[in-house]
Amino acid sequence: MLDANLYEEELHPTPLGATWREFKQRHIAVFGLVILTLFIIVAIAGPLLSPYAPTTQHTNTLLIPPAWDDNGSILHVLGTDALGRDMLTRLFYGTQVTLFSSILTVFIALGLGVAMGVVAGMSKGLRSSFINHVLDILMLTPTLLIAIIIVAILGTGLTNAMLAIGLALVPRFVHLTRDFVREEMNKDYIKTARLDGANLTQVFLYNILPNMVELLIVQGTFAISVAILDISALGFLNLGAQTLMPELGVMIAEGLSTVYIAPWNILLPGLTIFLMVLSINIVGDGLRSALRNRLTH
Amino acid sequence: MSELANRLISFNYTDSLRLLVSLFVALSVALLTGCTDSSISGTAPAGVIYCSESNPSYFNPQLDTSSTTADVNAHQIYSRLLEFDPNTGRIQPGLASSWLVSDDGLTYTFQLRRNVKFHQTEYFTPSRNFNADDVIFSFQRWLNDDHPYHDVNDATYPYFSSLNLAHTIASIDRINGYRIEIKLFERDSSFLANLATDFAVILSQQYGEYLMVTKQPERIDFYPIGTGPFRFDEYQKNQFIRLLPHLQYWKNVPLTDQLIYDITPSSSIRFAKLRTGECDSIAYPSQAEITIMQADPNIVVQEAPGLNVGFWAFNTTKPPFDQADVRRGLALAIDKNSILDAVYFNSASRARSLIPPSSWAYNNDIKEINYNPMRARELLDKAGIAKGFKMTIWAMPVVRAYNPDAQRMAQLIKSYLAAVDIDATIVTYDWNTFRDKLNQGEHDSVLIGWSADNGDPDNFYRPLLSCDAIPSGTNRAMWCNPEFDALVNSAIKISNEDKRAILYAKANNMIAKEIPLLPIAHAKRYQVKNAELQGLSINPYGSIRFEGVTKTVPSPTPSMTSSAVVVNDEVRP
Amino acid sequence: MIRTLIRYFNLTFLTLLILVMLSFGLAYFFPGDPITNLMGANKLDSQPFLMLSSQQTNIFMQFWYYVQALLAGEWGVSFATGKPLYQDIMRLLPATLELSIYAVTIALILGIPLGFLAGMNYHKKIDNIFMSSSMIMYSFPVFWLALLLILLISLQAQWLPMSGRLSLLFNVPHYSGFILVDILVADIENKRFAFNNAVQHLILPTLSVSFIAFAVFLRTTRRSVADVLETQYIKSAQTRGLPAKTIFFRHVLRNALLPVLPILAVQISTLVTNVMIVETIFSWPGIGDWLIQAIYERDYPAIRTGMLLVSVVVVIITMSLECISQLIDPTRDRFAYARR
Repeated sequence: MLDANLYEEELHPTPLGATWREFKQRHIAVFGLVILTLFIIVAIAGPLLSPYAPTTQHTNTLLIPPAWDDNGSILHVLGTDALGRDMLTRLFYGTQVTLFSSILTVFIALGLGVAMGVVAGMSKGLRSSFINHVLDILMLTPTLLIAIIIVAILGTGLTNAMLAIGLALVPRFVHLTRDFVREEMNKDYIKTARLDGANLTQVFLYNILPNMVELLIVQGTFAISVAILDISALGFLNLGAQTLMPELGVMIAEGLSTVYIAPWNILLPGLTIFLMVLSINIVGDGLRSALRNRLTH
Repeated sequence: MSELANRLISFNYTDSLRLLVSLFVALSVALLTGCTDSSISGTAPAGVIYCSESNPSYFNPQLDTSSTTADVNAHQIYSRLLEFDPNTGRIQPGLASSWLVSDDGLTYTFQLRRNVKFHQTEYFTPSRNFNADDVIFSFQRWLNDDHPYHDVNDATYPYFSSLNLAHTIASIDRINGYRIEIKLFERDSSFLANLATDFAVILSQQYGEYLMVTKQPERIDFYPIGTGPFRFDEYQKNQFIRLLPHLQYWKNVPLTDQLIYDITPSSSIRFAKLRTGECDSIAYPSQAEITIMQADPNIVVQEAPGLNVGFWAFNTTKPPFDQADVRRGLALAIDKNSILDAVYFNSASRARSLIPPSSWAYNNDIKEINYNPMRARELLDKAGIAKGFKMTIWAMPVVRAYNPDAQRMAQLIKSYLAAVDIDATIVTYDWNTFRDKLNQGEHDSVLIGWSADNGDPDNFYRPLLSCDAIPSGTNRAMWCNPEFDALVNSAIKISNEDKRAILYAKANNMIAKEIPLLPIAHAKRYQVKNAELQGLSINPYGSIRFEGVTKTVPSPTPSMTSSAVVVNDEVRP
Repeated sequence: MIRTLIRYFNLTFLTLLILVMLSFGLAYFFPGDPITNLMGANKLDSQPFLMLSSQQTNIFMQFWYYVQALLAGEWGVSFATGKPLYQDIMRLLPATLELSIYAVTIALILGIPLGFLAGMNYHKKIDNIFMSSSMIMYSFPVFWLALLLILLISLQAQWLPMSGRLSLLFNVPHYSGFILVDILVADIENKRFAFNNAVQHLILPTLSVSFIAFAVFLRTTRRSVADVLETQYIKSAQTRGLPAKTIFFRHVLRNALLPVLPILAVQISTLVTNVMIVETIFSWPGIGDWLIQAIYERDYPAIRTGMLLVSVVVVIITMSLECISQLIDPTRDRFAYARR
């Protein structure tokens, strides 16, 4: 039989390539990635595309429904809220605020968590177990309680909400890193490296970290979805972003006052949050399966 | 591995699991629906639920001008010597069955009603009827600084002190057990009207004594005893207030079995509860929702012109707001019409002066401030206000007839001010904290308003802009102008309405010139209720009245056509 | 076994101590005078607070008196109401517990069996359906879900009420704080009506909370079932010829359930957050709603005490669950769930 493949190459993809091939095979994961990319593009470029500013109040056009409704107008594709602010623009800015603040929070929590976890994993003794204990308590405390305490001490605002969520996420990463490090430290390739004369920092940077990256990416992705949910919940409760900021949770809370005549004011921002979180979860899940399966296929 | 799973499943686990799940669902459905079979004995309890918008600060309207406190107490728990007829505004007998005014207008004699009983509750049982001692106790509490109850609960009696009644009333004497005499220093044509307002309630002197003896005097304002149609039963902060009917109420009116105030701060949730039937009537319906309610056959919307004004007051004790030019400049910068659209949804009329057109003190020729941002910037520059000047706008967190959404109004004003390079910050707190801070004068400007307690125009001028009203906290502009005070004080000494109108016209002009506050709108008053509620009407001169309000419950058996209570040994339908 | 018990008891005690220290320290971190923050008023008459507020005590003695006050039930007074915190909290706590317990129960009863179903049909159609629907379910923001339920079910269809635990027209005397128990015990007429009414009020809040918890439990159970099915001992049981039913009930069931317990422990803190948010939306009179009102009013004693109480309850429940799972399976890798 004629083989279409005239050049008998063997396919040796890089780990990244293997992951991508595995990822591609699950259609739902690709779909999720597409949606996520869409959101990221919206978050970056959306504010540039929109003709309005998110805080301009068009006092002539209050509470207009979306364009597909009879009373809607194409000038405001997704309608306006009770102060005449264009919904689509606010969704763009809101996506930007929510997405970027979540990513930033997770980044910082990741950095801190990994640093602390490495130290804890590589050291032994009473000091590490004390830190572990404090972190355990932090992990057990409900996120909302931590947020309430931070708000009581520092006041409301988006940065304080990010601080609170970050605090709640750090222990998770510390645990992860510490367990991973501790387990890896017993493995042979580490022992080889140490026998070669590598000090602890080099061992971490060159040996452990590359193996940990995938784990961190997957956990980081889920952490971002959790951060989005928490930040918007705090915005909704008026404990995080305040009423003048176009944040998705705040928009839902503001829309509550006119929910009966203008339900799109809470449906649309909520749908945005839902789709963002869903796409991140799908991508994260796909990544995790891909990472798990790439070696076995 | 899935092959193994296949094997394991070949024993219908899925089926047994499905069976379990469906059993559970069936059970819960049966539990829920099967039990609502109405042929079971017993019925849903009767009562009227009113959704109110926040917590009362006390259970005594003497201590507070907030309409939340008045709504619960003024006409439910207590009665007054005199009452307003809600239809005509005329003064009617209340606990005073008749009265005489001397020719010089300085002596008022009241004959008190007999056989009026106070409430009997779990915490107090009265042993005598209402008599003159109770009137004297209630009045002396705020008149007399040495009265044992004067300082209880750090009371300040804002309404009475803003009218300076302590300097108007010379003495109150007991002529006999059912007759009292009040002597004034000077004539005051609004005195009788002031006795009929929500705040001039009558407390129980016996209860006061009892609390003094048991060393709990502060309970008088939290566990109240009065002569009104309902008695206090229970209060959970932020949740509800339960009132029960006073079985020996001195008026012969039907009373509902229970009166519940369901405290719901958000107006859209109140509206939602009205529609689902969880509330029978609600406080402060949002103007935007009124149109929807008018279309709903289960809801009745009542409308009446309002004796109120919503305004933007400047703190005239804080520079640079002590300069009239600065205030005028700020006032020129905003467009009232757009506020009327966005905040009031066109259910209010534009306010040209402090007093609404429905009052006889209104004069038509007031020079009004019109929207002129260029002139605003000129004036501000001339007064030395630089671009980027920062100021605060305090927006009240609660809904009122005169201002249904202060936050939104503040945001609109902020954007107008931004157009003339003024940077405004919006400040708000929870209602009680908000008012405390306003009393301290922490604000630069505030969005607030006033609902009149009676039909007399004096009720607008003195509580809002007189010097005496500053310590009592009702003068939000903290404005003290002796000329203005002279005008207003002389107006209450005359009984001739035309002569008074001239004085009030001068006062209006002064307000228009000095602009301690910028009047924005006079809102119509609305009341919405479930169509099954009978007997509830708008009270333009005070807070809500629930006496005579009952709910018709549609039911199969003819004996349950209304929920009423036996009052005075007579069954009333 | 005794060793494990002692170890967990120590751990719990230490954790509680740290929480109390934190709560005490917050009085200093919150704005305002620390002593007033601790007591909620300028002076209180009870013995430990008297000692606390006297000027000579230093910070360690203050802490000692604070602990005494806590154990004696003297939790201070709220800034907002002026009433003792102990009464307020004890009245509200059962409401939150009731909602949480019902939500967790429903999530477990539905989630675990369906998780087994999904795991057994790994990567088949039914598994994929469950996987996608559970992922959709736990991507919902809980407050949006609650609002949607209110919009559709309470406002549009008018099937169920949207706030409170019970129609205010019913006056049920307080017995335990758990509304269903109180109604059954109470001596009122209309008992059936009251019970139905309470159940109707319970449905939407419970649904909002259990919706998300159910999805998580389903996925966890499914993952652990899938993992167990891959292990050697299951395969060896099969090769030995054990009937499928025996394999399932003797091996798969118990081993798959093991990791669920610690997952439940971790999920409790998320559950508490969700319950608090749902309470606010449904005006459910519980600790969550009360705490959120307290932060709006800046009622520092209430915030501190409420936070302490909720953390203590969460810690005790979580530690008990961990202890039980450690007792059941001492070989368990404690940190496997972290790598989920």
